[in-house]
Amino acid sequence: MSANLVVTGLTQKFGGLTALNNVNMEVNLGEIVGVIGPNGAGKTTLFNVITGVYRPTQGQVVLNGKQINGLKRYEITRLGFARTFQNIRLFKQMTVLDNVKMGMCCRSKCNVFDNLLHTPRKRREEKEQEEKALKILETLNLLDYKYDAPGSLPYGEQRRLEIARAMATDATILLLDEPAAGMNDQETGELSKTVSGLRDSGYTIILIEHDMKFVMNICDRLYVLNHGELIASGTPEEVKTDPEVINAYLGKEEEE
Amino acid sequence: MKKNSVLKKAWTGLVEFVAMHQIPIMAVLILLVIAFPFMTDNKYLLRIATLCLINIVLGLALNLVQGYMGQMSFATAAFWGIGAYAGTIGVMRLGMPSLLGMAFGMAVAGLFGLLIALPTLKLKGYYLSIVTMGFCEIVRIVEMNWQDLTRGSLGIMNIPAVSIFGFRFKSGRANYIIALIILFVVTIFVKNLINSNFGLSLKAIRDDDSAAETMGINIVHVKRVNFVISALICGFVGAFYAQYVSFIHPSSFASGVSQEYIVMIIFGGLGSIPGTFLGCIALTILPELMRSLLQYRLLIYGALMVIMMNFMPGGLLGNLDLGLVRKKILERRSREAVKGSGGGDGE
Ligand SMILES: Nc1ncnc2c1ncn2[C@@H]1O[C@H](COP(=O)(O)OP(=O)(O)O)[C@@H](O)[C@H]1O
Ligand SMILES: [Mg+2]
Repeated sequence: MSANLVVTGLTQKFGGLTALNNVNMEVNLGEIVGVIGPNGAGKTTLFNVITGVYRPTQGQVVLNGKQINGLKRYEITRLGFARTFQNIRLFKQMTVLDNVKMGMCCRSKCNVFDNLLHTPRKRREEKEQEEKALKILETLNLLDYKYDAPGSLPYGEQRRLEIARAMATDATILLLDEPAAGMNDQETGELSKTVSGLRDSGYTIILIEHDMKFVMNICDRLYVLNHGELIASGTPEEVKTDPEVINAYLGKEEEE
Repeated sequence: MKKNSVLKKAWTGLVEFVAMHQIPIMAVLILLVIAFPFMTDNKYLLRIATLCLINIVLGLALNLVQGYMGQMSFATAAFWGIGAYAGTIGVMRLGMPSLLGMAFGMAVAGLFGLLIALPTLKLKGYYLSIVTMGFCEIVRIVEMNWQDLTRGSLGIMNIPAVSIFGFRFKSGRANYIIALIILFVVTIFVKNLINSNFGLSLKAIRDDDSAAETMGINIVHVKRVNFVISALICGFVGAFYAQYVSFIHPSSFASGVSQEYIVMIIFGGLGSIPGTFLGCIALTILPELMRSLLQYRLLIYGALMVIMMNFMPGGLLGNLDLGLVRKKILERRSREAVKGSGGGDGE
């Protein structure tokens, strides 16, 4: 299996603050990779740099041999990255269905005139999009909410809708930022099934999560960040027993 | 409190009824507006009605930018005026036929729209408002002072009436019908646009532009295209307006006029086509009914705005989407049908 996404020597500074310091990472096709670490460790920043929100101070992000850092955000999305947000950022005045369809806009083959004149091409595409969006909503168990406003959904459903919207972009790599945050045990259990299902249907997944049970269960490999530094990586078993990790992160939990 | 909920129920009922019977209701309304000029000879009434139609077109163009894209623009009157002046100059100086003059007005307005859009729509927030405010004033000053071209404060008189295939349409009735056709076409275009991927992108930009870009939208491009479309519409209807009223003057296109359109669509409902119709019609007719209060108009508008912002921040019909209401009702009915056949022994 060839390395799909390679991050080398990534450094991100915000003024005097080094949010990421010389981070290296590799993600292979079809893996579920977890990124863990205490609050403020730089996990979300890593996602932001990969998806082009920030241009890294130093280092490279390479997808299938092609450097992607420096590209615009929408260009990176069109290469097959899609993400969810830690602080849910759905389109509030649009329906659940439209939120998902919106994710497909970046793949639209229609130009302004198709849209203006409602040409047959546009109508065909619209129909395909509708079907596909409903299928995605069904996969994520959101079909009953399709005409509702996202703000009216329970928290867990909103997080799943974020995933649905990301899938709609035809991504191959999904970056999920704390998808289980605020969910109860049952919801988290369902989510891990959903995420493994996604991997089985061909997605590569990178996820940030604090829920250790969830992470240990689902991830093939983990990267551990602390104060912007990569302090460990490996399988969940390896990471769990790494003294530096226990010290920095797991230690607190093992105490109880 | 109770009265309030009764009102609300009645309103919901009305909206649902309209949503479920859109086609017959639309058919009746369209017939009525087509029949209207043949039911009256009153020049004044026809003129107000035609102005309503023109204002709705301008309101729709503005709503594309302000309601669906979420950025306040003060350029409506500027593009409208550019269309009026360019179209008129095309016809009177360059010898263009009437329709070509309208196309020319449209193109020139679109070009200026592009010039504004290129630098300003890279930025977010209030830059567009500030730039368009200044732009509107500059356009008026140019119209006022470029005497050779615009005759300045004298205005341009005796603009030839609309003429199509050699027929000259001078009557108020004919111009009403032409305005109606323009409105019809523009409404269809705007409706198509906002119900397309382009419209979804616009609404997403309005709700969270940064998230929209992360979802793969080239937001700067979408915003620019939208702004230019809006300018093209204003320009076209501006050139028509000039040929209709046969006299144009810079004061018709001052920045205060732009504000009136903003008031109209906020009043009727941002991001709503029926809202645009309602707001533009109401605030075109209302000042006519209150002629004696004309000098207090801005005061009344101001008070109206404050009241709206407090009690109905979305406008009367803000974000009303009849298509969506209809889908929801159908969904609810089909769910009830399933439940009904499952429950069996209900009645
Ligand atoms: N845009 C920014 N400007 C300045 N500081 C930032 C910015 N984004 C993140 N940071 C800082 O970088 C550090 C890492 O943040 P973040 O990546 O959000 O951590 P987490 O691992 O909790 O997701 C924090 O100290 C945060 O305050
Ligand atoms: Mg974070």
